[in-house]
Amino acid sequence: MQTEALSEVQVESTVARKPAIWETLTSEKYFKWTLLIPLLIVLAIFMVYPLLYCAYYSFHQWGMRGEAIYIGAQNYRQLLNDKAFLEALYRTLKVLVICVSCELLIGLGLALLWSREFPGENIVRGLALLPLLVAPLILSLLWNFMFEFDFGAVNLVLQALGLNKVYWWSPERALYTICFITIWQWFPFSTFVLVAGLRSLPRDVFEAAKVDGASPWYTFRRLTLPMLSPLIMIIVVLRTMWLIRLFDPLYGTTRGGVQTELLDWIVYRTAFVYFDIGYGSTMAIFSLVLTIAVCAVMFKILMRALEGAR
Amino acid sequence: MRYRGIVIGSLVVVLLLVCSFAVLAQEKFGLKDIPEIKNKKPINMIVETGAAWDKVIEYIKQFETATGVKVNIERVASPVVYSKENVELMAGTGYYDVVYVETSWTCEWSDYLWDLEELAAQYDPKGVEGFREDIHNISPVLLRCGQAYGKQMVLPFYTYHMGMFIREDVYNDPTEQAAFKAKYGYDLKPPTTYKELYDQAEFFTRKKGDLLKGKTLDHDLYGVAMMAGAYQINDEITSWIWGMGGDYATVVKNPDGTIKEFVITKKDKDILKQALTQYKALLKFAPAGCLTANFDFACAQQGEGFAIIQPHQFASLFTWTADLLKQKVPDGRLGIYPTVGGQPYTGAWSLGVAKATKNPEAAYWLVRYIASYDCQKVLMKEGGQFSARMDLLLDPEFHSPEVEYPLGIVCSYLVDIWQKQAPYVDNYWYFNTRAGGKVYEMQMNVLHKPMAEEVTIDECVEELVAKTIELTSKFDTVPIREE
Amino acid sequence: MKILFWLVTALVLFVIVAPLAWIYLTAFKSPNDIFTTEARKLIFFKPTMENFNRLFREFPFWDNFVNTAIISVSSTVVVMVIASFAAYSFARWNTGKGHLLFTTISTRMFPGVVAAIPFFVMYRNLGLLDTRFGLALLHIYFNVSFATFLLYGFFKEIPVELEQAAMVDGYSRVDIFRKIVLPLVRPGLAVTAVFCLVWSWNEFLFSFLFTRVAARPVTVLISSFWGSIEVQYGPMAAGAAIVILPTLVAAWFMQRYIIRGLTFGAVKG
Repeated sequence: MQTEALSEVQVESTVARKPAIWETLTSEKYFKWTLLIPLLIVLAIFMVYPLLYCAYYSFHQWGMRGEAIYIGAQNYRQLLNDKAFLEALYRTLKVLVICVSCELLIGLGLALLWSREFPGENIVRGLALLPLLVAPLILSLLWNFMFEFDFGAVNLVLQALGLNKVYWWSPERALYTICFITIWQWFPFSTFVLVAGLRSLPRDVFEAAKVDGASPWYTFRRLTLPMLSPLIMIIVVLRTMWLIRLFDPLYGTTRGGVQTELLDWIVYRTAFVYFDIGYGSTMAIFSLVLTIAVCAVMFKILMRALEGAR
Repeated sequence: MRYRGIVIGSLVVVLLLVCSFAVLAQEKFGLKDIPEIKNKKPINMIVETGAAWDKVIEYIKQFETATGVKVNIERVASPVVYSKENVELMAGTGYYDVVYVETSWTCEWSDYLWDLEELAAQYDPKGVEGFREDIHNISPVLLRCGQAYGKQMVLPFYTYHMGMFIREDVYNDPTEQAAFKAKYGYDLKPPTTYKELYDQAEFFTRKKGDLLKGKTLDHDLYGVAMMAGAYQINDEITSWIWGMGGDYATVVKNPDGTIKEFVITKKDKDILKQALTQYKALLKFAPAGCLTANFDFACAQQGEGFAIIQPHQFASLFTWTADLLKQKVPDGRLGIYPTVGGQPYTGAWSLGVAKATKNPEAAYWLVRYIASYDCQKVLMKEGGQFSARMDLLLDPEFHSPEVEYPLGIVCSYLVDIWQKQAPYVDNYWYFNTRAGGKVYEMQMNVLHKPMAEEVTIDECVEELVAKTIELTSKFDTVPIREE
Repeated sequence: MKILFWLVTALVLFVIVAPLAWIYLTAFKSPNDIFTTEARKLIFFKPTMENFNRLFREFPFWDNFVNTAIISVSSTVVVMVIASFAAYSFARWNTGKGHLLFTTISTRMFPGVVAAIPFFVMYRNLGLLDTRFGLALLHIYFNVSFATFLLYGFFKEIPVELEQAAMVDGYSRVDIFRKIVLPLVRPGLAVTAVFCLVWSWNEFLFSFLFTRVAARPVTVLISSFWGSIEVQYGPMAAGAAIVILPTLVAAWFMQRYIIRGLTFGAVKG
């Protein structure tokens, strides 16, 4: 009898203690942090570690063999004089500007076209979303073939239509071909975000403008665009973040040739083909700082735009 | 040209005779000669995708049955074999027992590989002698490529030695011959100098509606098809500079045969500059697609009948190109000749045994098995690749009238060119440096740039020299300098 | 006007669908019909199942397919749990005043190739190479930041008053989250899950490096049809045709949600 009673007490006390921690964790003060614990653990393991690793080796010369040699900031000096790297950087910015502006323009155009509900909308939307979801790497292998000069489907079609074949991978054109592939894959994103935006605009304001005799262009410039601006910011910020890391379309196509080497490709080559960990880390750190600087500004604007929209 | 044919022909006959005696004299090493393997730990290896290995893998199953050792095979795309294996080797995972090696990586990976003779001494009942006896049938060029500092680290199994593919039917056409002689003042024959190559490329570049062999062309015709994409251009340039007596760096040896240093001499740079200039000049006569072309599109150009000469192409692609040509241009016929200068790029995919393996015994025998006559025969007959074994290339089976074209003539070409090139291989820089794999990958990128008008040729040479020195001093212990 | 509308719509759809259709057509072609210069053969050819047969017979296609499915589903489940916790915290309390949220998102800006090497060394030490678990962990890492960001928008939409009312009713914080907030963001959870699933499904670099045989996902198999003497476009297209099917289905059924999800709560309704 006695032992039973004792154990009951013990059980009670453990039950009572557990909620004590539980209470603290879910208390008004700490609950918000409790919710973040799993995320912070993941980030600590997967982000802090490689970051420290790269920061360390960016001051060393090391090729994954033997001792790492401390060389101070020499890697960074080399980077700033590395013509190939700076050119890749410039090209990435070029791709960024081209792709973001094209996607926005195409997106806006199509969004205006599809702004009213129309029959068969589900089918159109279902099909148009496809490029967003197909593996970009697999596509790049197949695009390479489709854009081939003599055997590619695109030129065969052009020829059948009586047009001249186009050399899609010429040094002058290849970067734009890469842009095309990227835009092809991503324009549905901007289109449908903007379609959703247009449809949510308050009707009465536009009707009032119409009654006042405002021209369609005036309405578009003074009413539609400002109201869409938070969405346009979303598109710009997200696409910028992804485009800076553009890699997949190059993998199966030019592999960095014909003047298409982009930032991530040169990092890939250095870190993963030469296994020059020291210099590769330097590139990684440099490009991380750069992207964060660019994105931090954009992120601020975005958050403000989102707040404004609500 | 006839004369050349006779020389090669008689050479082949002689070698055939020698070889058939050899066949009679001794049995080849095969599955039955593998002694019982005591260590039964499974073996892991990587192989590339492609028809050749599809077939060989079936034969590896026989090895499994005979020895009781399980072989796990991982298949990857060939452009990424290097990165994939390198990570595992450098991180010391010890996962791969048998390592898939491109011959220019042999020195680089020599620290991770067993000296095969050491293993032979330990596991082979016939000892090192038995090992040597079998491998002396392998091409001397490729064997040397598979050595690091005098030690046999890997055994080659199929080669991609280069050659020049030409449209033999066009070269033999009397109207073309006459027209060429009239225009250039000498006979039309496969080019052996750059000037001839250039003249002929120019001569054969024609527009739709022009004549070829007296018939009207229904497509544009190009003199040459090349692979100027950022993927195989370096192999072409290598053939070019070797043929001119140059290299990416000159290997300077001590009296005792060890390597003293690498020097990028003035001559090396001049030759490289000249080679790039000539290569670029030749691109005028190539289809536009060549700027991004890899081997497949270059061969397809010739196979479709759009191009007359491939100045440098992997000999292993000859049969495929010839088959394609037969379908598209029924009276077309290809010929294979040494590249200009007679020193085409060479190398082979090879297999070695990883130092970190838990089962060196079985790994050694697997490498021997895949390099054996029987297994290589499968690779050739069913897989369509060209073996590194000369006894196999000279097997009468591959020289019967039905298969002499296209298969047999490639075999003869390879055996012939190996004999001629053997004295030079030892000094090729690729096969003496630990930075080979890295420099090779870098060259793809840098050498492509002047062709894509991204940099001038002078800038390209400058960059190549700087990067070669940078990578070599980072990854090799031998000093390197520029002269 | 109406004609113009449909004309443009049809043109856009053609541009989108044609390359995908080409993949499906190529999957049924023999090598000779693939390497051709006749435009006619793009559409008219003798279909063959050879590519599929080879894919199934000679390659562990279905094994790899199952790996992909297991890895992407399991990583998505974990991502959803972590991300919905975190996003709720960010949205309700603005934890870390925006800096922490930005840090989370910026994990996607670190070049994955470089991070891969330290991960590889770590994985070797932990024995996680070539395990589904190990790869799923990596997929969690690269999906979690975006999932958090995506969900943040949805949580932000929920009026605080609703929660305050619940608190008056005696609900605890945990109960509010479980019984009130989560059911309200169900569409957001659905769309985020679809995105994570698709990205994990399509991921290549980590999948390629961190697996060998046992845990290899199917994208790696498809990209491997690149031999040293031929690119096998037939089996490649056949593989791609099957692998993209689930994503096509997802696109079809989730279309409405996907679009709403991508506006980050900036659009109501």
